[in-house]
Amino acid sequence: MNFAEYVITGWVLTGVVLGGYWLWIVQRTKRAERSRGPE
Amino acid sequence: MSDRLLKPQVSKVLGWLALASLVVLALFGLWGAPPDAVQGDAQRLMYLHVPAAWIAYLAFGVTALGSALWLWPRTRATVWDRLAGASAELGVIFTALTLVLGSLWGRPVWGVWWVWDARLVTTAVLFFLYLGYLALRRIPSSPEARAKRCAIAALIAFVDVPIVHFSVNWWRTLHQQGTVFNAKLDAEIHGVMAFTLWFGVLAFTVLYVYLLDRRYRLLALDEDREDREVQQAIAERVGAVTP
Repeated sequence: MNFAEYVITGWVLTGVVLGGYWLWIVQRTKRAERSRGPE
Repeated sequence: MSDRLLKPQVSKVLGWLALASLVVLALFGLWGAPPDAVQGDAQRLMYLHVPAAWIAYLAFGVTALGSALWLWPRTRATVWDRLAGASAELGVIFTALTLVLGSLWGRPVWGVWWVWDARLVTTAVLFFLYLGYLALRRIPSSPEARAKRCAIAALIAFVDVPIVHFSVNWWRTLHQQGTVFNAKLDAEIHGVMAFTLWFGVLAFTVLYVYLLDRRYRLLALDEDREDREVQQAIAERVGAVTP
């Protein structure tokens, strides 16, 4: 790998990890709110 | 008792602000900032590695604070235990990112993925300490007992945070000394590179606050569901034994 490939790997990995975690929280929150019913 | 840290409108604004600032960070980090004179493009990983490490410190600091406030009888409230739990999870994620990004940066610059260096080892220990903390939170018990043992564990684990930070001063390490928060408090980075680094710290901080609020809310909803399930089970048991 050249220098740029390490950099791209790092940036993409960060995006995938943080984006995935973000989506996981949003999805699980929606499911939990649905199961609880209206506040 | 509130099951949110922030108002929903504030949380939504923070989410969009975090997303926008991360896009700007990517533009500056990958194109706007010049390549380093010595390390070339490999140094662009610094704009993620340093902010991720900063958020790990912040997250574990918030966990320690929440734990201390829960242990202190005058301030004891569920909010502090939840805050500590939510923040610890974020801290573990950002510590993992710090380690992986550091490894990706180390391979082209040092020639190795990993070295038994004081900074790297103490950071790995930090990761496993808080992974243990998260495992401790999952052990079934009464909310009070769980909060107490987790608060004590969080305060013990936090001892490693200053050790990680000062490891580059206390021991001879391959890892460089602090660029910004060094012993002289004299930042050794300037211009667009300094701007990008500080912007990265800001963007990650906004993202951390947003995710902390969302994770706190999810913890509150999960606890509420567990309470309802217990109440339902008790009601069914009482109904079964009542003639």
